[in-house]
Amino acid sequence: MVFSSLIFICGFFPVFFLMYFLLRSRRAKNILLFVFSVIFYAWGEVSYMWLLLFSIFINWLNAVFIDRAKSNNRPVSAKIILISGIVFNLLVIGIYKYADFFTDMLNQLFSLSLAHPNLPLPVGISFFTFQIMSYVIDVYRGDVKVQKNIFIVAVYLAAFPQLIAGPVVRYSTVEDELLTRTESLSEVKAGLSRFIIGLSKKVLIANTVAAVADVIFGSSDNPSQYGFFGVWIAVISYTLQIYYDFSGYSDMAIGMGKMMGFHYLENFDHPYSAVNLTDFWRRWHISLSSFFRDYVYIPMGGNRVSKQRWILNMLTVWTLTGLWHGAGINFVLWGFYYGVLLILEKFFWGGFIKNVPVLRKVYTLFAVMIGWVIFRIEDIRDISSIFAAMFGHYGFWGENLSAALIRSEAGVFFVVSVVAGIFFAGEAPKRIADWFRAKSTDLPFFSIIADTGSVCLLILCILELETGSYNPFIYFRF
Amino acid sequence: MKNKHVSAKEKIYIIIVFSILFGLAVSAPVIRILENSGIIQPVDIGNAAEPARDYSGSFAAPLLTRFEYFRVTAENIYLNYLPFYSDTVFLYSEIKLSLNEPVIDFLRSVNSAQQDEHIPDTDESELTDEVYISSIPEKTVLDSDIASVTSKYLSQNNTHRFYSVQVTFDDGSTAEFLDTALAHDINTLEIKMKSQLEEINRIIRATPENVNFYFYMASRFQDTELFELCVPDEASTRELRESFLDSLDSRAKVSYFHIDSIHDRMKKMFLSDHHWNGYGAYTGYRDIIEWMREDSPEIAGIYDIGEPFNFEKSRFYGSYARQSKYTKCWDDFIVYDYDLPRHYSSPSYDFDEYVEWMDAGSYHSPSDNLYGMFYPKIYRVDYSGNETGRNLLILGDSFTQGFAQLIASGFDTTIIYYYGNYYGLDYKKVIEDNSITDVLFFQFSDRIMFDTYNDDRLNEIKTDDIE
Repeated sequence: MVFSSLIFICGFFPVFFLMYFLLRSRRAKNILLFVFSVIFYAWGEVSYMWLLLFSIFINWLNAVFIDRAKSNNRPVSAKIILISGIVFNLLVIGIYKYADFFTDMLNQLFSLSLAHPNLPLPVGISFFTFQIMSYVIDVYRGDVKVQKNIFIVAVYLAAFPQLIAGPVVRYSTVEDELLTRTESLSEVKAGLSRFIIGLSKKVLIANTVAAVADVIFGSSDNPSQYGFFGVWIAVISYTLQIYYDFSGYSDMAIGMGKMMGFHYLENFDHPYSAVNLTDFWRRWHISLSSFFRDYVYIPMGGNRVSKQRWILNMLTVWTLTGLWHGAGINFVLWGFYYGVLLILEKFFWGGFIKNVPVLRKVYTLFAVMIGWVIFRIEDIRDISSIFAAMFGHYGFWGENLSAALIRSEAGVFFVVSVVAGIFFAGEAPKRIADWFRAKSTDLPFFSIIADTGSVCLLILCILELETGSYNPFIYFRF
Repeated sequence: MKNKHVSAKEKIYIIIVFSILFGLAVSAPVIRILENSGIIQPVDIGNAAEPARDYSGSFAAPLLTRFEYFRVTAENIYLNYLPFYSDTVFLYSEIKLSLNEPVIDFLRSVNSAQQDEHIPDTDESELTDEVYISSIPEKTVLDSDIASVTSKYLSQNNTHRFYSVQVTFDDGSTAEFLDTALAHDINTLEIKMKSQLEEINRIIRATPENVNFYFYMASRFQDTELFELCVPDEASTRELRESFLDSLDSRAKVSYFHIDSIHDRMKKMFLSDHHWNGYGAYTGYRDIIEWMREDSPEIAGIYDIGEPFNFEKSRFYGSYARQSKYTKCWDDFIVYDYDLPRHYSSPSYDFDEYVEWMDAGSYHSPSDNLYGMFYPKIYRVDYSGNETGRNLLILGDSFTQGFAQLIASGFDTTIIYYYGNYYGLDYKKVIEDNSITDVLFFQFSDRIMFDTYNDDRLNEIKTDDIE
């Protein structure tokens, strides 16, 4: 099940929240949340529910044993248990997500003929595995108290708002709220509003621009048919698609969490307004980049090591970041690309571009878009021809571009989505929203406009969902 | 829940949003319950949830199976029973199409400038019957030459891309029909074709030696080279069809429904639907019976085409119009009254009663499937007076619905299985129990060649393992 589906919007969501608000006790609410979360997960593939439940059990046990070992002053045992827990989690994700990829690598490197295991990918495995690992590591570090009630750990991990596509929620963020949160009408309202914004981002913008990106990138082996203009339309479309798809999903998760009294941290902060790549990664998928910073980069020494070691740390972390995104060489390349650029930015041009406002934003956006091309293309052999098209090698308007745009219904709705997407990706809307909020206290008329707009967006999204059949969700494979 | 300092506006907002969502949440199952009770008859939307996964043999199979049943039921309810779903979808689509039109028209003009204009050959139809052509009221026979053909892309779904084809005749008059191209890439089509061939050849080889096996494919326009002339952006699937038919087991006699010209396309098929129309069904019947009589002359002879009847108060928006949500192209619904000998069918079917019933109504909604309404599924037809000694088994689909009694008129008994009820079909037993002498495997090309909708229904026909 995905948030942007009729069954979720018209069935699951209202039924769940009605029951949630009718219940009084915290315990009952948590039970309801857990049951519905299991139903939510099982909806996509019921047999993988066992994997989720097993993961909860093993990691809960792991954390309890770590805590016991530490209490009994056995730090070595605690460390061994931690390592075994990490290995278990990495094995789970390694087998289900990367087995085919590693098999391919081994076959190519050593001229073997190993068969692919072809295991289907459990939805959200990258998210919930990292989330539960963060809990276990935080227990080991003493950053959070161990939770001996397995049910609370289960609610923490399986809560449907963040289960299959993040944010990667730290246990410390919700530790108290799991047991003592309160709901309020003002937060329900704010959460509902946020949810609708997220839904609109996904359905109205991401899905619309995705149609164009998919048609053009679908023939990435022959970009000459689309030319410079066509490929750049696809790149801009994909740049918008990935942001609105993922940030939309995060908004929906944060909104629903707020309705229940959870305060998940922000996952995106206008990343396309970043002034350099370092800044970009402080604004994009914040929960994942902070995970890698806190649990991989800093334990490796971070930047408090020699220059050579620091470079190695950076390349390792970013390659792993790329690999997390997908079991494909293009994802590894994408991560490595950022590692290299961040190093170069640090040592070479970072200081220079900092002082040139327009140039720094153009440079950042350009670098990010090039990165998205690497991310999007599944066959890396096509990358060079795509780049050639991007730099005008195949002419301006390819012979099949019009047909492709017609096929992807690139009409007025597409143009509006692109314009709106570009506008709302910047920081201007935030300033407008702040101005609105300030005005609302003096002139309630402004808040009525905002609320009316929100309801209209909801209706429009429902109309789109009813009408459309095109509803891919980029991060679903993670 | 705390609600201190919550303004009235915030409360109203929450009430409105939850009213919308809860209204939808409740109304869909209520409509379903009312339909089950026979109190209302909502429009059949036809959306399909992802089929139930099979967990037999796995851990906690009963629990998982029950959950799957619940999932499919819930998804079907929210995909098919939301209030005003059909009207909302078509209205919204029309609005979107209209708003998108300026940009799409610009792109089309750029595209046309890059393509040659194609003028197809004129018609050389063998049949000279006067044919009433729906939606071209000033014409009773398509005899004018075609001056030009253009096409415009409408929309697409997971399986097809939809096009409107505009035909301009020499005398300046115009006509329009809808058609589709398969959305899958060539590699996927070839993989699916291979799988389908394995299943069909399994069935052919399981057929007893004394039984004739006829494979007749109901063609799509895309299976002809003409398609590329009309829709230059798409490739014809003719070569795939040739390859498919050549790969069938040699025991089968093979043929297909011919669409030899654009006139044919408009004469024999609905303008807005994938099915053949009444005239096309008649030409198909003649084709098949003449073909079968080459082996078995005792099969009863061919009847003349019947009297046409046009349901003038109704419009038929066919499957292409429905799926593309393009309501500017529709068909008159015309049926033919044949002078057939006395026969019995199961379920019973009286042509005159159906005409009277449908003519009493006025059907104008895109969701009214007139073809399915007028031609229900008939599972058995008996012409006991024929005494041909030939009994026919049809493994068919909705195309068979359009001519069941007509094709059965060549035989003593005709048994029909539609792809929707292949489950549990014991092929050899059916042949034996009904003394079948001839098997006609007759289905629409995209389904039978590529299993376009991933039904995997051929798998449900049980045969003994034949190597």
